[in-house]
Amino acid sequence: MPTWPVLKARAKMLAAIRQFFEARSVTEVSTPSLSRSGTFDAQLASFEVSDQTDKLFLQTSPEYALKRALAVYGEAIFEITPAFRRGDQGSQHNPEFTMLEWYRPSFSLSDLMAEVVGLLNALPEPPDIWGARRADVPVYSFRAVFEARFGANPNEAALSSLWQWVQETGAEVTHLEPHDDDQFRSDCLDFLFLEVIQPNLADLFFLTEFPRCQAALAEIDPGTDTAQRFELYWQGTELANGYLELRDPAAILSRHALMATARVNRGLPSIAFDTAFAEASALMPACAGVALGIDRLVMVWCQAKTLAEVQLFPWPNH
Amino acid sequence: MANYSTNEFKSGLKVLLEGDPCSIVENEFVKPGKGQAFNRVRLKNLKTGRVWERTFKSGESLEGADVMEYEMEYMYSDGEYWHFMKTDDSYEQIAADKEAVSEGIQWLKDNSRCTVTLWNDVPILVVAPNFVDLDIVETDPGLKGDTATGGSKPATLSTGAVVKVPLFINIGESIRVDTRTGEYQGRSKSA
Repeated sequence: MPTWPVLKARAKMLAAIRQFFEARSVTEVSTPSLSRSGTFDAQLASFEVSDQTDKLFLQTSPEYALKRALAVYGEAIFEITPAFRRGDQGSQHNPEFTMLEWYRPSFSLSDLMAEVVGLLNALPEPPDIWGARRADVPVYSFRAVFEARFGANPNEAALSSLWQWVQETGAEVTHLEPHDDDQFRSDCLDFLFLEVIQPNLADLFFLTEFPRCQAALAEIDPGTDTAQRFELYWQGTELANGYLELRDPAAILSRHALMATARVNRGLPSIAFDTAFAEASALMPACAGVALGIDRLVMVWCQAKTLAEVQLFPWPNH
Repeated sequence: MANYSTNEFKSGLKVLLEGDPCSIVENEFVKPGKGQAFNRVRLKNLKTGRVWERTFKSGESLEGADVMEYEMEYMYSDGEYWHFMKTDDSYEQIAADKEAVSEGIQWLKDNSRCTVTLWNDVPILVVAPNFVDLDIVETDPGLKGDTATGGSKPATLSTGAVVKVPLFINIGESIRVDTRTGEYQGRSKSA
């Protein structure tokens, strides 16, 4: 359970975030937590809710709804909302958490990374590590750090090589089974990054230039053949995840097809394609968007080690 | 025994893995950005004492292991088995085989206390206290006054264990040993 000073710090941070966006004319909106369509991402599990006639999903993030709002209004918007992910439970995860997500029409990915730093600079009472680094958060290219360590391009390395490197990390890996699909490539890359590469990086950094198989809903940069995506890491924990947003409905449909294959290969339930979302994506202005975990932000800001120290009534003992 | 899912794994939980009883040392839920969730678990094999790291699919479960730890007193060995008695006034006795007493027995003299791990009521591991006081039965003669050079020599203890001791220590003296490292700690305080 959080101490009272932690709850006070959280409240001050939320107030500072709203003030930051107010000053930049980014408008707060609220989208529904219950939705008719669930995320098609193969690695996210939605809570399902029944209202007798319909099956509804608790949102895993407000992404689809905020993009539909962008399609209608075309304005810079943000939301601070609960998000729900079934099965995500650990010292850095809680099945229900608070997410800050915002979208910036006409922003590039680096504009948005700069704004993330600006937002953190606007927060009260920064911890020492932020005070020392705020002007200079290192940016690593996933492609470059991977090539430096393994001598292979993460888009092109053979799946058999990736799998062999995973098994050479020292841990006995039983959570992955080889599949001939992009999700398996992505899972191997994730594991190698976590186990082998990340321990040698700074404790606060941006990661960019993700491999194609980890593009999610980000645009691909044809020059580098990498996804226009960034993550912000702090003390081993992912704090924020941003994209130059994909707007082409045909591309979204093909990403859905890849995830559908991954779901079938892993025996996961299939998720219907959300046509309204795909159509809305085509109507969005060119924009960059980012989601930031508020509970994790409070955790690192208050120098806590676990979410349970900053979240009221965390699972499983709520 | 009940089954335990990865989100119930916590330090000290006893589970069966590949037929061996194990104790969970550490369990961490890991979920990369958009990647497959897994649990990174450190386990100690209670038969071999080996600690290793293994990843599990989140939500996977393992069968619990019927493992109990008792404080016991070492009584004697008949050459094939080593006999221990519970210290809870039940006077209950058990016999442990060579595999179970393995490393731990070299630190135990008669009537000394230790921890015995039982799996399905059969002893699988005997662990001596972290620190034991034992007499030296054999070592090279001590060098009088040599307390400063920091050299060492082997010494055989009454239980048969051999440890390195400073040059000034003599036969008949009682010394304190850290059983986890086998290192000499000093002369026994009570001696």
